Amino acid sequence: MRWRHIRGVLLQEMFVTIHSLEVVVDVFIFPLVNIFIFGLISAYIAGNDQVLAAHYVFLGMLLWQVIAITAYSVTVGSMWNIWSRNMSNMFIAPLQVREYIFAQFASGCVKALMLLVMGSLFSAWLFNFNVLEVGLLNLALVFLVFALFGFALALVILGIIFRFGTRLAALSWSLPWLFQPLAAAFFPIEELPKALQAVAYVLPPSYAFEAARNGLAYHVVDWPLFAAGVILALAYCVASVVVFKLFLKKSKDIGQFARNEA
Amino acid sequence: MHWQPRTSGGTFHGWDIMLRMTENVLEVRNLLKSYGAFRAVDDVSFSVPKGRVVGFLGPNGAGKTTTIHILLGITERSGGDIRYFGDDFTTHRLECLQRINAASAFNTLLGRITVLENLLVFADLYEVPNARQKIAELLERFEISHTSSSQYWNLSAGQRTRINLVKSLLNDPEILLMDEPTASLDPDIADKTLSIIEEMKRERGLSILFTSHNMSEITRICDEVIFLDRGRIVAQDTPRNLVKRITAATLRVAFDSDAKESVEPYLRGQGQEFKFAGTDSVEILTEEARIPELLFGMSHTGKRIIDIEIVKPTLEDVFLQIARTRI
Repeated sequence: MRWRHIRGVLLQEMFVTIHSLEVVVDVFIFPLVNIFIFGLISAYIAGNDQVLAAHYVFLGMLLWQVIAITAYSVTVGSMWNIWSRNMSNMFIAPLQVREYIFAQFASGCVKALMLLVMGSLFSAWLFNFNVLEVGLLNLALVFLVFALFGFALALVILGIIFRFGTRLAALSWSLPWLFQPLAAAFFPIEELPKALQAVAYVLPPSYAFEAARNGLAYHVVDWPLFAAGVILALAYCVASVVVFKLFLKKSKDIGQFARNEA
Repeated sequence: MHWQPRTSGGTFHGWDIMLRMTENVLEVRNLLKSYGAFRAVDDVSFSVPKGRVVGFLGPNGAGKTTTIHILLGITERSGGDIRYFGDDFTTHRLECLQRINAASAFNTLLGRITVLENLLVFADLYEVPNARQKIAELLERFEISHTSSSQYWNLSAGQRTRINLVKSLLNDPEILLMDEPTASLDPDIADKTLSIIEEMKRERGLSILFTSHNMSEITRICDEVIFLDRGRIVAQDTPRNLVKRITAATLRVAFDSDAKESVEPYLRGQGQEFKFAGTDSVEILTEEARIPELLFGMSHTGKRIIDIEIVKPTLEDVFLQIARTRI
């Protein structure tokens, strides 16, 4: 991988973010509004002597943004190139797909980290909720699992768009949210119906959410849960790379890659 | 030299050595692209020598753009070989891409960001040294320095085309693949654009593969023209030689007074296809070689010829003939 290629894609991401109100709204404003709404809901729940439950809900919403923004950044970052009919220009340059994807992932992580910091300050200021009570190490591990999972999701979505066309672009900002209830973002996994618990156990974020809640409640680092989450997330990443490569190859075989910009 | 002769199994054999000697920048052999039973590109072979401009012509759906996409690696081929600078494109993809570039009317840059920002991104992708200086020089050359801080989507079509050309020249390519680069430009801007392309060819020995529907552009800048129809090469020659394939020409003759009564029987006798406009001028569709004889014959019908116009075939006529029948 060549640094200047990666820097080129990172520069493009930065320029697009600076110039696009939609990106600023989607990546920063809308998530902060979400955090605000869930802060109010949590405050209401806490008022009914359900303080821990309220904190779980609020923490869930705050951390969920890492998955949502990582996935959004990778997919929508690429959609800007497709919408502008610039994707072909990118790949007739000596840019490797892996360099492009890595840069998009790095950009997503930076945006997610920025949002997490902003959201944490916001919740401390407005709702007196200190996310550091979860523990810095717990937060770092949660971020790792969520960023990897968001990246894996994004890669599959991107592969689908390359293969089947931009009519499926809506998956970019909708599909990740499907996993929010399934990953038990706001409540312990046991609260899910039995059938859905089985689904939750194959999703990496379920383990990280559970570990984060344990961190908040008991101030511990739940290594077994994090280990399961990281291993699963890495497995998802490997699988998503395979799926993406297959879809990309098929897209080029059937001419869809070029047609996406027609 | 990167080229290594194949000992077996490939389509590149002894004649490869000859091709190398002519310094072909691009060599395409037996290129094939199938979508199920449909062949979009069917056994296409050609080469682009250093410093030459090769034009791709053909009706819509002939396979021109698909061929360009395959040559750029954004569509996979079903068969055949592609070599840039003697290197196999499949195994030396990144090295090849570093030395080539493309401009197309169908691709644009990111509309949201400024011209300079767009070009800085591509300068990084091509690892251009002294990127800002290079960008400034190219913008100056294309007379669009003033657009540098404008958002790309606020530019006119002509400005965008020139920015695309700046992008395509950032890495000092040795071959440029241009897919209808002047489409939708007004004649003045198209002319300026072609002039710059001609300069690049002259100054740097730039090789170009050029597709266009504009016959006068093709005639003007191409050293060789390849006609594609339904994925196959149906004609390949210099523009001049291709035009020579059509021997018919139109002869328009005006007389000083009514000539129909005396000239019409003569032309009928010669078996010519003709049409009178009024009674004092006639348009004759004939073989170019017969024009002197017909003029001589008409001048001996007792009528005085006051004006002669000969309309020779153009590349457009060749194109129409191929599109309608096939050479």
